[in-house]
Amino acid sequence: MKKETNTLKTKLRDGYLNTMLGVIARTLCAMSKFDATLQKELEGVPENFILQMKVLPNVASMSVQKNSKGQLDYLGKEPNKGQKANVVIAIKHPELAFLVFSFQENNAQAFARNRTIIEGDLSMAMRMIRCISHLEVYILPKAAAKKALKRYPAISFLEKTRTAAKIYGHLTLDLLPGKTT
Amino acid sequence: MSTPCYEFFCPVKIIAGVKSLEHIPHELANFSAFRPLVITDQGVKNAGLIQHIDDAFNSSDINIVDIFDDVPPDSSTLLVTQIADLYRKLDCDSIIAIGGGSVIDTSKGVNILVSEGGDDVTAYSGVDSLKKPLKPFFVIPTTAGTGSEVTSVAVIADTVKNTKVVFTCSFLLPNVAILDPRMTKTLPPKITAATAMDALTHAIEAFTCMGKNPLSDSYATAAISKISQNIINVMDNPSDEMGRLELAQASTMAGIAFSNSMVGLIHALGHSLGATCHIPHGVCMNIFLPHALDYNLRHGESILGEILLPLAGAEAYANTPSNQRPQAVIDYIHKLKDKLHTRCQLPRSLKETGRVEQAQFAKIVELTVDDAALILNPIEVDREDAMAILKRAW
Ligand SMILES: [Fe+2]
Repeated sequence: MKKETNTLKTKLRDGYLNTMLGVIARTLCAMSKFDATLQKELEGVPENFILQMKVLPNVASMSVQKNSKGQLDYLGKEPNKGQKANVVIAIKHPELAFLVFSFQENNAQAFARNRTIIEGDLSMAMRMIRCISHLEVYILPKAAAKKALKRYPAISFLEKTRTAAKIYGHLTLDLLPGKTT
Repeated sequence: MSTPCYEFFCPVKIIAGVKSLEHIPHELANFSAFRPLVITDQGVKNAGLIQHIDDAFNSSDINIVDIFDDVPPDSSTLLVTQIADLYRKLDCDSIIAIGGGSVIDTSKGVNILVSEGGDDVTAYSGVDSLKKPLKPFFVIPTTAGTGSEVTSVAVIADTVKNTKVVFTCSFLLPNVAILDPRMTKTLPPKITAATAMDALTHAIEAFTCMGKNPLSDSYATAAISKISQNIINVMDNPSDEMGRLELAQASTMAGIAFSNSMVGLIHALGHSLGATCHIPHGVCMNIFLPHALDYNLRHGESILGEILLPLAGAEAYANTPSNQRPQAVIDYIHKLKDKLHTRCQLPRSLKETGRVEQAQFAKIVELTVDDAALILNPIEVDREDAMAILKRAW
């Protein structure tokens, strides 16, 4: 019989993972509305394309879909009924996911260490990974982003602050009750 | 940077050396397989290599049921279905693939269909779609380069949808790989050189990219030293069977290394150039190898210098101060390319291929940044970086 030790700790961890995936998903959607870099990457992505990121087994998940305007919509944890994600990025265990989302291991390292599985259209997966790296520059503190990325781009503090402000603006709008985007 | 956590897997039985083909009947019997279908191509047939296999089955109680010898260089999922039909019609119970990358990948696809059933192999594409072992599958490589005999990947073109379908699953690994010097002896000089450079690239990327681990490192360094010690000798003495065998073993070792550590920038560029300009994979590797290593080095890659020992030997390594070793590796590879060019006109630059135009660079760049091999390159590569490397490789 499996015994879950330290349940409070694992609950906090799993809650944190869900929050982080949710933040990434909503930020991707928000930035797709104004950020030129993201929009350019998304141009090459087919309409109705779905990206799902998850932590196995069923610990945390998020899905986003490209709409007809070329922007991303947040679908929640799973794609809508009858739909299947075109790219799934899955981390094998919540402890391994925590290494990534607490910036002890970057995405490439997690993949190199066989902790991450990427399924589906790999060239689209590369595009979405670039989008996520791009957003991490803006939403993470510089020290964390430097650990999360192979190369931290040369951007000014002002540029970072401006974009971050736009993201938070869009996020707040998106979260207003009754508004579905 | 060696990873503090890694996976390593290679369950392929390797039979290498003189008269190793003669081991096949016994090995088939070990799998209770008595009705093998041989899958190969016209090149293998015209080089007279089938005769060696026939000879090996003489004085055995197993007969080859049939030989399909028409796999083209760019195989397709339709062909996979066609060969699977033949296998079923003849009631075969095992597959022997004889050839290079295309034959081996096609045979992997055939094995999926004849084991799992169905007519559409694309239904099993993606990662880990197969859940149980397939039919007994033997591979006899005739080019010393791709390493497909020890990889769990198959790439097969879907000519209807005009895409490349990728299959990744450990059940695709052959049960037995046979490296017999007779089978690579007649490989033409240019293909010998190109495939050896592919194998060298596998080993170097396995050693320098992020997925490296202690086990893949040991295969990679051993492969590098075998290739550098034998390649020129084999080019000058094509019928040197032992030299050929060394290259074949090196190719398999490099295959084991990279399939457990993955490749990086050189393959990302090579896949993209190959797809855009239809240049053979080994030629692409030969062109990009030193330039991509140079790019990684200039941006902070730190272990390239260690390759000098297996590549150039102990004396050259000891005589080179440690801070000059990385550059010495790159210089060595440039010189190796020159030597191969002198011997068989293997193109050293994009221009020398005569098949690339600078106007195609933009497309190659787009494909490169979308290539999954970049994930484990030690250095980030964006569009500008990829374009700069293409210009240097011109
Ligand atoms: Fe290769």
